[in-house]
Amino acid sequence: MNTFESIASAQSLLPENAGEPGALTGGRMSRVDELRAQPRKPGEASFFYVDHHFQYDAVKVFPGEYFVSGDDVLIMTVLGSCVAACVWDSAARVGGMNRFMLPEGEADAVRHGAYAMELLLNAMLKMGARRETLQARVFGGGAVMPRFATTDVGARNTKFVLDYLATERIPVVSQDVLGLHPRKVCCFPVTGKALVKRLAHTHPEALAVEERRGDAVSVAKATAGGSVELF
Amino acid sequence: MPLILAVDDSPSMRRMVSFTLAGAGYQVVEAVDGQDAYEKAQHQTFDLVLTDQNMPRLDGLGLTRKLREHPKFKTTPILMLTTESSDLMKQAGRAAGATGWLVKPFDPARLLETIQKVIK
Repeated sequence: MNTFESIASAQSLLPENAGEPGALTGGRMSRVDELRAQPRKPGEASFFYVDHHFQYDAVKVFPGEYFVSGDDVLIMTVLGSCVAACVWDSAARVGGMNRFMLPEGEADAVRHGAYAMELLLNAMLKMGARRETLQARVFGGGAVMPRFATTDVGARNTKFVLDYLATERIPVVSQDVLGLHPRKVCCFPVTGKALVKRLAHTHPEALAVEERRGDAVSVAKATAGGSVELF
Repeated sequence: MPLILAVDDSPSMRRMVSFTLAGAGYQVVEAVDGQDAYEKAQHQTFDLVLTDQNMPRLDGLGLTRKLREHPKFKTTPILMLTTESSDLMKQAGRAAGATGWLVKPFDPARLLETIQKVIK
């Protein structure tokens, strides 16, 4: 996903605690500038900020993105009908989060959802995580828009991610899904701790527009998914 | 009926790939990683190998290199089916002896068409 576009499209959804890099409490220095300067892969979240509430360097995951780290950062997102899987390896102390929604239509949906999950899992395995010690926390899938409520996109996303994790034999240790509210989710990749807060409906339309841009098909496009090359 | 060795560490992916291949009339043997695939290849001959790249124990490129050392797999088509899409990885695939590179998520019709093109 084009970072500038995703930032511009989501002005109203920017983290309310965002501030400029500088000193954090406890004598720690913000590494946000360093994080911003590092090269990122297609699909990897790249909106870094200092979260004043938590006093942490943070990254916001936009629809269709994922982020994995073994560092002391806060990974944050705001979910409407999208789902986010926070996956953690207790042994490697590596964690990550993705955020996606299934595309419309039955045939492609599962393959694209599986792809969004695999991007996250592969990034974790590359950082030393192992399938056997992974655990997941699942959030989102709300019916936040009245017209979404009829087709219940959120329920479909939720069912997919729970089915997928069951097939992959990755235990889901906690979840806060479905219902009517958007959610703010924060996860800490080193400790695996995840926090969720149900939000009032402040910008349901903006959130819905933002999320539709990030369905799993656009994830695939951003990462050259589906291409075939014979040598 | 052509026999395909399908290699992926993700059970979801193995299920989707096998479903697609079996639906087109191929026989499928599944392997859970490169090492498992390599062991299965000792006892059997396959008409095509379809493998993921990122896997524990032995990855797809490692599997391709090891299979190419065997006379019976010298000319067997080996297709990579992976989330990796960088030119660097594709070059490594070509150097390892892979026949082609498919980036996930796969389109079933496109996957089958590619297999038909390279299978003997």
